[in-house]
Amino acid sequence: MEALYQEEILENFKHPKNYGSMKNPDARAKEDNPFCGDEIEIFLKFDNGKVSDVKFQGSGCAISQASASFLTEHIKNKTMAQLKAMEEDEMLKLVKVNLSIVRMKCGLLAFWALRKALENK
Amino acid sequence: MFDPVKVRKDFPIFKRKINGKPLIYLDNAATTQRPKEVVKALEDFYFNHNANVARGVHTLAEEATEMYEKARATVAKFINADPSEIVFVRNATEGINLIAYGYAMHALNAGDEILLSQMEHHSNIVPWQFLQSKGIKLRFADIDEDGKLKMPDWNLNSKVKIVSITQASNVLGTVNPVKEIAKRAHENGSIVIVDGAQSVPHMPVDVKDLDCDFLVFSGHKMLAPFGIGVLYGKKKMLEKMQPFMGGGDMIKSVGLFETTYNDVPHKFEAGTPNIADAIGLAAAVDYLNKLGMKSVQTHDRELVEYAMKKLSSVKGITIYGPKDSKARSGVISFNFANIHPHDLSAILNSRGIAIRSGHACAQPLMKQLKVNSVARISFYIYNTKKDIDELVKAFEYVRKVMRL
Repeated sequence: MEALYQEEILENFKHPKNYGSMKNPDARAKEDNPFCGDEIEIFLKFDNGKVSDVKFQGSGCAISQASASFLTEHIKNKTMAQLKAMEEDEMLKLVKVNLSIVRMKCGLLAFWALRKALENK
Repeated sequence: MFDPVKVRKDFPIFKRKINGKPLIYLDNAATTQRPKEVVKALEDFYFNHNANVARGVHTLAEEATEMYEKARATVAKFINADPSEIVFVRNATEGINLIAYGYAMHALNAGDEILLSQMEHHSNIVPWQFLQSKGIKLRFADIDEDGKLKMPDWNLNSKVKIVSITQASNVLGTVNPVKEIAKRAHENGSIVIVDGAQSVPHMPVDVKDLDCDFLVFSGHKMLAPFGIGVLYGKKKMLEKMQPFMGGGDMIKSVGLFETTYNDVPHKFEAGTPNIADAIGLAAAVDYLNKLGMKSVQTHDRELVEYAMKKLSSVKGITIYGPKDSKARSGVISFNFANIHPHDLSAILNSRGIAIRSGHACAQPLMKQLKVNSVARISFYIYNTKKDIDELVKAFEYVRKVMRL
């Protein structure tokens, strides 16, 4: 169990990076996990075609919150093409720990919110 | 009174180890485990009597028909109904949908109201929302701070045509006074639907005593196979109801442009029914009858009382629902030390303990409780006080993993 709840996950859960909302974002979307009622909302700002700022807010378990923290760090300065090319695998690699089929939904919640935000843009 | 340790021996799943630990199964409100007797009944049907029902006059067809109808009679007796008042459906959800489509859609008009409560499961909310497009209004009875229905606030009026309420909350554990509700609703000219998904498995339920018009429940929450459930309806109500699905079995005679429907309950069982699982449900009912539903209820209450006392002493626990354990069925929802229920459940699982985490299919209630999700434990006949002791012990490990 300690393997799943390792230091880096807990640290990013308790003190998530890029947590908060954003005024006038260029793209935003909210995604729910119907399995547990968790939700994550993501906000993006672009400058010169690259992500210049990103924020997320919402509530959820350690895995979903830490994943959102990892994802938002990961996508800074990425181009729209890079974001659109991003696959689920890339997200799961960011989480580093192995997730069961059920917990994978927690690990991917922020990623799905990002996808939705890009579609909305 | 039965011994839960002995009962456990009838359930092969308890031989399993989960993460190297003996299984402690506390997710019975989601689904219970199955005893050998139920699976044996399925095997006996498929290996020795398998045939379609209500057609064919060969030996197997006759045996299958007899067994299927006997299962209906067994289930009817269990809730003190007549066999003609028992419609086999997939689950409680399908039962409510059948009433919504087969009864409410025809009997209610724009401006009529349906009264539900804040503590309903999604299955007793969403089917009614479909009717809003007909101009039918939904209203929700409030609950108080103790998680009980605010009874005087009912405000029943002539517009309320249906009152649909759970007998036992799948989140709060609250047992609602449905007999009193039915009385008041009938005085008002409303019909009463009881969601028995969490009550029928846990306490004696007598539809004549409750005087409800409809009762729905699911087999899989009371030892029976998945995919079989029951809609009970007073005969005169079922006769008023329109079929929701057409096809074989539900007809008396069919012309190209018109059909004479079969009598109730067959009118609502279009197509080949779930014969084997209905027989499995009857085997589950037989099993519960052997233990005695009064004893099942007593066992439930003892565990709830013990768990409420033990959990209350754990630092950082918030328990939802009635403080008085006598007002509860075998369900306790809680949150622990700001740990998300998902994380809590995952860590407990590493100790072999299975609990539910999430919104428990009651998002409107979650809003009312001002939480996104809860952790939930729920008991059944094979649970012991030792299971609760192990759970309480495991909270220390949870603190350690989450570095609290």
